Amino acid sequence: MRKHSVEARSAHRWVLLVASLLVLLVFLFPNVAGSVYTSLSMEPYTTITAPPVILEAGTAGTSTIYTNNTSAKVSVSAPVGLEYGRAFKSSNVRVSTTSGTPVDDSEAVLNINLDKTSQIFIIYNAGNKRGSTEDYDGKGCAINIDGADVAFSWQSPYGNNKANSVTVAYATALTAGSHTIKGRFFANYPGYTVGIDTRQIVAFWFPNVVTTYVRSITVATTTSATPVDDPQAISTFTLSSDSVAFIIYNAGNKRGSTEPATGKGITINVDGADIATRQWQSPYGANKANSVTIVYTTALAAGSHTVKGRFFSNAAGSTTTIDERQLMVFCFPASLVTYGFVQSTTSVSTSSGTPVDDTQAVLSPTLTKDSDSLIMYVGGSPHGATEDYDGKGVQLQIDGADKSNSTSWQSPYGNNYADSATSLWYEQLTVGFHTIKGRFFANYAGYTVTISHRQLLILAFSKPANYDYVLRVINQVTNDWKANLRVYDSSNIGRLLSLNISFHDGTTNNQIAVKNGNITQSEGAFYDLAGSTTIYISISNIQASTSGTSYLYAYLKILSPGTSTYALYIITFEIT
Amino acid sequence: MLIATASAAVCYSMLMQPAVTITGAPIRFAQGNDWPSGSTMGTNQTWVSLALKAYPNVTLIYEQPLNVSNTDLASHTFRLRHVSITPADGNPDVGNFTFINFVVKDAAGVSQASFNYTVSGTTWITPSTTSYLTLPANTQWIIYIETKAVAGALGNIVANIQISVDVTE
Repeated sequence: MRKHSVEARSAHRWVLLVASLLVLLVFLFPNVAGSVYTSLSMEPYTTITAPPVILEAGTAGTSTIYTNNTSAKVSVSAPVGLEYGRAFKSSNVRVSTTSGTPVDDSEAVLNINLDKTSQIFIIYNAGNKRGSTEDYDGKGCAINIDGADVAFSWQSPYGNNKANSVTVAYATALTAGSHTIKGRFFANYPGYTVGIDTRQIVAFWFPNVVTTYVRSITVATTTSATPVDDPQAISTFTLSSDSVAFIIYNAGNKRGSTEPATGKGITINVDGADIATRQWQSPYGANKANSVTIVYTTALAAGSHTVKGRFFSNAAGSTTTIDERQLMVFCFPASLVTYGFVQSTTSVSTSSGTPVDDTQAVLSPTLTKDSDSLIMYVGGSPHGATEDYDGKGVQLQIDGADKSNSTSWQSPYGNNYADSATSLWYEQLTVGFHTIKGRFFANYAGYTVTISHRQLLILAFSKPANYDYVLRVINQVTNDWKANLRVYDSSNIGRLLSLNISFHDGTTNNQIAVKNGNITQSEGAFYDLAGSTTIYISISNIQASTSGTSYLYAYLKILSPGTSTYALYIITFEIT
Repeated sequence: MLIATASAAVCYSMLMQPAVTITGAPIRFAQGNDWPSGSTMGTNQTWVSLALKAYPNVTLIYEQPLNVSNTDLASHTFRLRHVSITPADGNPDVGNFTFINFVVKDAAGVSQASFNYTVSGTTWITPSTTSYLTLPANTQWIIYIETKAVAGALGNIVANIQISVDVTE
């Protein structure tokens, strides 16, 4: 009994010992793991307050402002149009030269920058009026691209100091980047002065259109008085969709080549049919420089087509020569260009020394969008039509305003000899109805000149749209802030040819840019939003290649100056 | 009996003499570049009250309102631990908030831990205690904060949060 009592007490001690060790272990492990620690206390309190900056609708596009004016959706429409670029210059500053090789016309220089490789056409039209110094052998003109002369044309007037103009055209592919295009000129007889009183030079380029062009210096001749093919001016091409074709044929001979005093005529043949009109020109005399230009615009259905330049002698049996010609065809998807074209064989005459309407040369296009517009007018008379030897001038009028720098002048071999002139213009025309007129006048007032055939055309390319005030950013407090925009997501922007989103407040500060379907600038620099002021958000230069809906999701960042504390407002830009 | 027992036992004493020195905490708070107006830094920088705002339907970001600074020559670890938040769950005011997020970023701005308070209806979804983060010697890290209230939120509603920053010695 005693022995049992001792064993029970021992067991009890063992139980206590094990229990104590367990308690120690329980406390030991946390202490080993956590060692000694202290606690700091962070006690943020967050108060909901009204935002100091709010958004309100602008005056352009459609804006949806959500609750609290802290987020918005802006909806605008992007015109569907061609991707294109253009450059134009006109001037009435006179230049002259005695050089027999091309020199720069300092008033005809275009510095352009292409976003991507493009097909480009260039037209240079330069002339002198009656009375300006001009040698009777006349002048030649050339187009120069990046230092290389690439196309030539020549013309001679009735005599010394008579009206004389030259048109030269060229088309090619140019790579992305900067390029310099120049109009150049030279005396057909070196050492004798020729000059330019007025000129126009235009370039349009397109990355995605069907084009075909020929520039050839292979000599062609004919004695035929009816049109024959210029064997070097034939272009065959295939269109995948219905298109509008813009065609220029320019053909001429230099001084010394076989040419009758009556000169030559030309026309254009499309798919086997000559167009309804022609143009003609006569030189100073036999074997003198003589060139002619004709333009045409027509709708062409999808499929294969052939365009030809054709020429003929103004005196049957007399040889006329082409030393160089340029034939170019630019085809634009029918839905992406607005065009107008008129040709007529009805003769009109005037003896007025100031411009009068060629009543057969009127176009009345209605533009659905603001458009970059190319306008050309060629008016001429054949051998035998009433034409004073001082010749005629032509020019363009838009909505009642004569474009004096579009003027061109030409004189023939003599009275009633073939004589034509070309007028060229470019203008940004606003949406709506317009009236385009070809006008002409006698270079010597009181003496009759005639236009028997003419071509008048307009090609209008929709300009990107602008929305000046789509949203207002209003600072409701006296604190100054800094603001910028940053894209954080997007969808279906591949169709956007161009788009700029800017702050607009007297000056424009670009924030977001899209070019050719890519976001080229996703975030802008900070712009001052002073206390109690409003700045605007604008969308500009917006154009799409196809219909659809695109989204840009952006943060409007409102930064407290001198800190990195900022608020992010969500703005959705919907572009249909 | 008691005396006899005591006198019979073999007994000795050990002497414990703790020396308690008052020193600054090796890890403490420091004002960041975006120290919010109205905030208070407690004595010894071991307590801080941050005055934050939340705007309806706008994310408000304080990139550097507060720093956690290790002034010691040795690294230390710390963690964030939720202690309390008001208004309490079930209070309709809770539903005016979208989130109050805290992110611990290192000196290079790289996120080391997130500690987010979000809302479901009128219930706070409070964050779990972070793992221990090692703050190198003589280094400051950043407490980055984002707040957002719901669209149409009522004004002047306040969410008070208490967060413990546990630091190992």
